[in-house]
Amino acid sequence: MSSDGELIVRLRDEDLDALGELFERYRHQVYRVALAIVRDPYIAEDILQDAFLKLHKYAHRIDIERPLMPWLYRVTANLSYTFVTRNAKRRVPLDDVNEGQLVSPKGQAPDRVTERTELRNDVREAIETLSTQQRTVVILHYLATLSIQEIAEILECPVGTVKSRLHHARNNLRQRLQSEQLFAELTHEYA
Amino acid sequence: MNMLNRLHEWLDEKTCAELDDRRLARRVRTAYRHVEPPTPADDLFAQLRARAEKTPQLAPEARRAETPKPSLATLRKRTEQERLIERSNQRRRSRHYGDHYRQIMDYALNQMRMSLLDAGMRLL
Repeated sequence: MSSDGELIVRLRDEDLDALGELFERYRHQVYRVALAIVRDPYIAEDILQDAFLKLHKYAHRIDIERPLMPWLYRVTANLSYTFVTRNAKRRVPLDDVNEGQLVSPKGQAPDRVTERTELRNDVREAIETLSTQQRTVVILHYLATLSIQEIAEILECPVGTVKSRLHHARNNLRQRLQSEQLFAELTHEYA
Repeated sequence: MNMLNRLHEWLDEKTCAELDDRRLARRVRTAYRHVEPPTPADDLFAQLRARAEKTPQLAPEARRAETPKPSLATLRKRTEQERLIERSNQRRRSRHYGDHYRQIMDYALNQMRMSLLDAGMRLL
């Protein structure tokens, strides 16, 4: 299997099959971050395409010595955040996001799958209730596993602001999940 | 002993917070683990490929040209501007501290006057 660096070098020579391999490798991560921030599956798909289009466009400017994933996350987060801040009034109900886009893991009992799906939906709903700023920080930190410094660079705000947003987001999530007695159940479930 | 107890409490809180944080991270990852785009991946990539074929790639970033050195006249002008700004800042500072100093002196004099009056009243 070719490394990311090798694929980018091929991409620089307009080899779009290399772009296909990178797309296959990272499309899930990119899509999840985009969806978590924009909350619209179709817009998240557009962002997924735009992120990989940027990868093609900027292939000559990407440092192949460094891992690609943080670069992709950065581009995705920027695209998603820009979209959300420009379309602040647009809002998609979470039900629309959940229906029909969940793939059940193979080899698991249906009731178990349903139970887990409900728990997952509750966590997503809790994240959904956060403000755009808090949600973005939570997603970038916990889902994209970016450092606070990296998030500050993406959002172009001080590190202290990111820390503060994360702190409030964490408290809000904890309150929300605890009020539904989910936190403890989930802890038990996945510990 | 108190210090030790406090240290224990602090460590407990810190450990709980870290555990909470790790749980939350796992929870968020789990919540989005099985999310898939509505359009099949092949179709999505076909669209992406068509767009990429039409989009030209950018050339490697050219090195920035060195900024030309400022002329002697520009440097003189800049020095003069900096001098004027500094003088204006100094004036503002001295005015500010002057006001502050005057307030302190007024307060001190007032206090002295009150003490003298008090002492005089006691003598009488």
